Amino acid sequence: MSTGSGRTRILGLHALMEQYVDGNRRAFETMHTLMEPRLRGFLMNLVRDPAAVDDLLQLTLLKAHLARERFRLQGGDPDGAVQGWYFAIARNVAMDHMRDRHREKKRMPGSAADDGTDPVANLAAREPTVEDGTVETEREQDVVDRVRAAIARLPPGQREVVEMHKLKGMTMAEVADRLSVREGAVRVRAHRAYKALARFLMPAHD
Amino acid sequence: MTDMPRLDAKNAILGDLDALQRSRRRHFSPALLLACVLVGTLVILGARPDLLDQPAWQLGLQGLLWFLCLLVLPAIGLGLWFPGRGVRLGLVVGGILATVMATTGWPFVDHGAHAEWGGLDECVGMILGSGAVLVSLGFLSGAFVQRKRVTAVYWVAAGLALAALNVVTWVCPVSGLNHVLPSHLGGAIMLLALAVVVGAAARRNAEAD
Repeated sequence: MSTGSGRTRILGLHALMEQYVDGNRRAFETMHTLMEPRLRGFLMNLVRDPAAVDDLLQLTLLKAHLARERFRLQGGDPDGAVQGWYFAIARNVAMDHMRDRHREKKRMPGSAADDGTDPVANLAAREPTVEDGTVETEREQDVVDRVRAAIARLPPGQREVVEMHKLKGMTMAEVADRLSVREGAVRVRAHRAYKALARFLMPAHD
Repeated sequence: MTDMPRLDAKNAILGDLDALQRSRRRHFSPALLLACVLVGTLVILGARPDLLDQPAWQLGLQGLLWFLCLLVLPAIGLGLWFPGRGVRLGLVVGGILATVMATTGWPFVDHGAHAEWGGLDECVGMILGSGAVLVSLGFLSGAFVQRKRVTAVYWVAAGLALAALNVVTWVCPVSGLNHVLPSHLGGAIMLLALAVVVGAAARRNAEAD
């Protein structure tokens, strides 16, 4: 199974999406056949856990279904926009999964038993509180804002590579094709861009 | 996560889409019935005396147009049927041709020039009058805003305009081209334009909400 590298554009995806939003079940079935392997590969690339990928894929499809009326076409590539939209949802689902997994590891029952605390209380503590959610959301928003600001500081040539590669989920080959340059040149720009971003985002030390 | 029953998103989504279709059919069946009652009443009360004397092929085409305007065109506009591009093109071209042939008798029947029944104004008035009721029905039932695609407005509008045209075809006994073209077909085109404007306004209202 491909590991998310099959991100070539699917022609006619936008037309299928429009019909799916209008309620055409055949259009959804066709979209599902086209997108499912790509989403599965994309998720596998992110979480590296075959057991979880199936569930995350189902969650991605359901979230996309619930949000389908809010899909808005932006940019000049309708088919790519639909694909990018699905990948963005999948990316968020994968990030939530990895965050939950990390949180669960930090709350291993072993630590509660050593402290002598009530295991029932510890179970309740596994559920995030409203305050946890608020703090987490603000922290995430802060990270998003910092990353956006850092990307905005990049030179235009590097910025567009980062936006296409990381934000739209395009492969280096697709980026090179879009910009009409050699793939090697795109990789060089990407390398320089990510080095610059790492510098911009490094915490300041006194 | 893997201990819980496996979720089948594809089938869940397909079930939801099927439920949406059932809901749409339930929602619009009364409006369709009302439209049928309206046009049926108009035809019964004022059917032209020579209705059944028309050539069989012309009557058959007129029957086909009733089927188109009451079922096929609304089904596409409401998102109950999604034919392919070839079928849609065939419906448009075939529908226009059938409409011209059914209302004028062209190219097989030459009705000549007649002027016994009313005139242009009465037929245009009848089309616009009955059409206004049908368009209001479409507007109030939400028919123009069921689908995301703007082209849905044209399909619904075409169905409404064709229904009004069919009514006047079965009521007005004047068959000459010099009458049918400007009054019947001209009136239907005016109604079509009106229905499109109303449909566009309905969509703007819906988007603003």
